[in-house]
Amino acid sequence: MTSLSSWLLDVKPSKPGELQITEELGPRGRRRALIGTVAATGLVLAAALWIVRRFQAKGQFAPELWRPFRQWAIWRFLLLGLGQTLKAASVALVFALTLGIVLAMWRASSPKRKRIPATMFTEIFRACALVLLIKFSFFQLPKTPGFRGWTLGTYAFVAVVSGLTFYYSTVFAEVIRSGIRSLPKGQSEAALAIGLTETRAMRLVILPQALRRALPNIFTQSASLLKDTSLGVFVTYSELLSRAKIVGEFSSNFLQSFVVAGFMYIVVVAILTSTANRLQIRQARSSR
Amino acid sequence: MTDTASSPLIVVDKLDKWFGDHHVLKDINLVVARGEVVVVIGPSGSGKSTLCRCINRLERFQKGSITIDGATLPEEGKELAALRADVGMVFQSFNLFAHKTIVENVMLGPVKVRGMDKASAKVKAMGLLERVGIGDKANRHPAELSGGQQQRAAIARALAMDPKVMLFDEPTSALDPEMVNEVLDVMLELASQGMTMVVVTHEMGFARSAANRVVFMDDGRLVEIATPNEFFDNPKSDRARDFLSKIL
Repeated sequence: MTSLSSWLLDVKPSKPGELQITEELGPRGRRRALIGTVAATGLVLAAALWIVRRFQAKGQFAPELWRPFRQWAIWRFLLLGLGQTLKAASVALVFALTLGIVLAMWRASSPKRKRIPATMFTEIFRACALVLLIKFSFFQLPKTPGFRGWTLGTYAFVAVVSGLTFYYSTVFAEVIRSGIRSLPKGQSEAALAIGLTETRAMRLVILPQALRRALPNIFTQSASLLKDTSLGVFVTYSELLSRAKIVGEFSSNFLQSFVVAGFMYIVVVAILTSTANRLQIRQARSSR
Repeated sequence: MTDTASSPLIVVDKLDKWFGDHHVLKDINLVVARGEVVVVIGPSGSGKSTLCRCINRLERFQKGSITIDGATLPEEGKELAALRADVGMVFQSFNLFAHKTIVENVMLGPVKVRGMDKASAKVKAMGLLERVGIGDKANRHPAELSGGQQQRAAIARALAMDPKVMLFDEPTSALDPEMVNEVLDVMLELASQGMTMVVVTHEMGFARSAANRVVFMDDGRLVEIATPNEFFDNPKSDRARDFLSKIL
């Protein structure tokens, strides 16, 4: 018991460069933490057990419901969907980040002719429901001169990418702007004092530091962006979730298909998060 | 041809500045000659830092004018940037660019503003870093240096632009006591080489040994202008006498 409790309560040793804010616990704190840990673990286990029992009661573990996932063809179908998910996410990420950087720079700059349009754009598209933007592009694009005559799949892809771009550019703009605002005023003053214009001071001195500070948030939002590609399901974009739905319809095992798709999302996001953590630690090490 | 050698370098004429309702600079008139070292002293909140920052328009002012080397200070844009390039500024909190190494800090202005090629800018930067005694820190980041070393790097960064005048805004106020002298030594050397300098400071020793003139400010006004000997040994105004009795 003592070894279990000490294992549970051991303060995580800090890695170099990582901020550690936890203080070692006193005797009463240790007792409380132990009770809390045991209670929380118990609750989680109970919930998991309940889910498993319900699954069993409804016969969701029946082998024939899971059998489709022993076929390579089904996996291939889902993995190609994951490929579509990653394709839409990465294209949207590039556009949204670029636009987000420009918006943040314009919003932080002093001339009104830049600040006002950037502020309006950000406030409007940040407030729009993402699914609305995607649906709107999907239904309006074929009616727009210059965008006629594409295949349905192309319309779906472009609709997902443009919806994500409009919405996430405003998210990235806000994240980067908060990075800009977190810098000491002296940085821009020093840049102006050596004779840089406001625009070049922003580009050469402020933005590189702001992006570095915004990086953890950019990663978090990129993971959201990736998951939001699943809204493509509303415009027939053939990404992971759409395909999981098709598998479910085809084999009458919606639940199992969605569980498998869910795990695929978890794996991809976990890779993204661990990359972010590694970057953050390396960055913390190099800047102090 | 005008006689540039004898014309003043900085002319501050009837300058007034308000922060909201607060009148921080009141009718300031000051002329700085070429090669002159002017030290501005006074109690906290007297407006001395604000005056220093107005000279390169890091602060805007509402009335009056400032002329540098015959040219009126432009209000904004490329013209203002070009003028600032000729006015070196050293800040209380160093303000080195945190994402760049020391030598990159010094090179940035010459390369991006003066259009110098990188190789010559580096040679120049290394020369300046040697001159302020931190050549061995060239490839470090600012956070790895002590305050005194950072401030000397900041001086090198300002000098790299070959400025006509150097402004120092309380350059030693943020330093640990043991590092004050290494920065003052660099400034003394600059002064002895004929650099025009406007120095806001609390270092009375520096004022006595390096200043051609001492300017005493109080409550937004320029109260007294005198040679260091006159000022420290025989101050004319009551407020200057009072100030000196508190700090000496």
